[in-house]
Amino acid sequence: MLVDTDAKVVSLKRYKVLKGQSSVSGLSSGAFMTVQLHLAHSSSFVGAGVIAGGPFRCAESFRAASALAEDAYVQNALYICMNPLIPQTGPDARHLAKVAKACAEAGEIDPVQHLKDQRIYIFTGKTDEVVYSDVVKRTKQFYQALDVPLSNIRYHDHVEAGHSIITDNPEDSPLPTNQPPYINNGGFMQSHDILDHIYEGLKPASDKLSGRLIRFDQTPFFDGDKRASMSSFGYAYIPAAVEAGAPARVHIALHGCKQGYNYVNYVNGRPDTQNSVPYGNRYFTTTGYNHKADSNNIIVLYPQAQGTDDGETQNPDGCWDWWGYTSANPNQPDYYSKQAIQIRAIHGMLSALGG
Amino acid sequence: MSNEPTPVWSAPLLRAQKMQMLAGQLVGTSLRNEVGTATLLPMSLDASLWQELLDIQHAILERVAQQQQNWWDGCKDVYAEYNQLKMANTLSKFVEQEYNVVAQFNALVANQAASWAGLMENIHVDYAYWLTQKHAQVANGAGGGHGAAQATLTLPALPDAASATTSQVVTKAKASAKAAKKVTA
Repeated sequence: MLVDTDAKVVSLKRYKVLKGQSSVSGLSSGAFMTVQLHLAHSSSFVGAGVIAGGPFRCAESFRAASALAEDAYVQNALYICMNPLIPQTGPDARHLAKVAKACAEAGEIDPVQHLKDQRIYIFTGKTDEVVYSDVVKRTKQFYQALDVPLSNIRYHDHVEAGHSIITDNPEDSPLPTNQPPYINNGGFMQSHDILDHIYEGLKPASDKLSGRLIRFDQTPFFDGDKRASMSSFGYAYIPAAVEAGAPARVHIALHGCKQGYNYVNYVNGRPDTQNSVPYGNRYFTTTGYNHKADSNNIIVLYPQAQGTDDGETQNPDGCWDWWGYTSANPNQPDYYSKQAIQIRAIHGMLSALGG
Repeated sequence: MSNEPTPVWSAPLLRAQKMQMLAGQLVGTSLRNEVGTATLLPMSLDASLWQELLDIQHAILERVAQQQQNWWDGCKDVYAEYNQLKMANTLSKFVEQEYNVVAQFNALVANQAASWAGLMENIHVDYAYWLTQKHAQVANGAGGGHGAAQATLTLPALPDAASATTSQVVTKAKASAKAAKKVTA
């Protein structure tokens, strides 16, 4: 998919963005972060798209899993929020909704009342072996417990898809598979479905892109702090009409683990930089967001996470933080709040664009 | 966490201590789960409790069967790989081919070991979580449904095989046994 890419590293600039009309979506860890970002700054958004992700603060479902907090959260993430043995050992949506309300009352996230008019797209593949469907079903229940009416929630659990974002690209993986790059060919562009649900009345996707894919310096948004586990560069697609001054909305598209541009596969515990090619630009050029955005004056923002595994931050797969690895104090995690280093960074990018 | 670098010589010791702590916690969780199950006996007339216990056992058996299938499939693949090795034209190529098959088998063994460890942890965490919820239901006088796992437990505490010393040591460790199974979602 050819797109005019600026070869320089630019700074994000302000466009005529309609405040409070933005949205966010993501796959896998990007989906878990979508829910977190959505709740933290719900006043900035009108909807969210969750592909294979669980509810808010799922990784804190069972603190007693381990004596050490950070161990407990990882174990919760793996065994309650990804692969529970039975539905009853999955996350408790009603309890986590109460937790979200308490966080809002404490000022850690926006008031949850913003959510009740918003539109939520939630998807789980029937053959997803990475994040089980029982968990994603809890995400739907979570939003319902926060008074989002069922009519505003589009929930899909009938497609024989593996853990992936779905496209109609012939070269993508077979639909039922659960393997990198986690982009599977299912004969439709899931990104289009997400945007169509969040923003009713959108025009069909452009056949040919008119705009520009920019590469911007992400580091100022997290002060270059390694704890953020974020890459040097982020990306954004700016339609030509928006560059020319048309009113715009922003959609934040969050990749999953192992999908950041500089992710390199690990072999025997080490990044295989000698043989493996970095993931590159697949997520922000081939998943279809740009074509739908182009014809509808939507800026698509693609923040990038990167792998870090140095004993201080354990995130070798470059996942977004949904289990607390960026928290300065594991016993008082903040990864879900407005003060979280990654959420502050992403919202800072949205603000820089004018959202 | 401290920013001081960990001396190279202490890394194996730190990892051994972390392994002991994690294994000890699994033992402790097993004990708590056994005690917790016994104290659930007053709820034994609740059919849904027994159904959920059966469902847990069934899920475990399914995963064990899948693990075994993965092992056999992996062995078959390595065997097939070896059988179709072509003639090497150089000694270095011959050595490389032989090593590749050995490396594939070693990777299979390592993956299996990590998967079995993960399954053990999965069972322990999920069962303890389930027990906690059931106790919370009893405490709240509620029947059925998905109770909060935040209720105060009367179960014995996890044995602190560690103590504060290991807690400090662990926070300085450069690698953790949890790298054996990473969050990849």
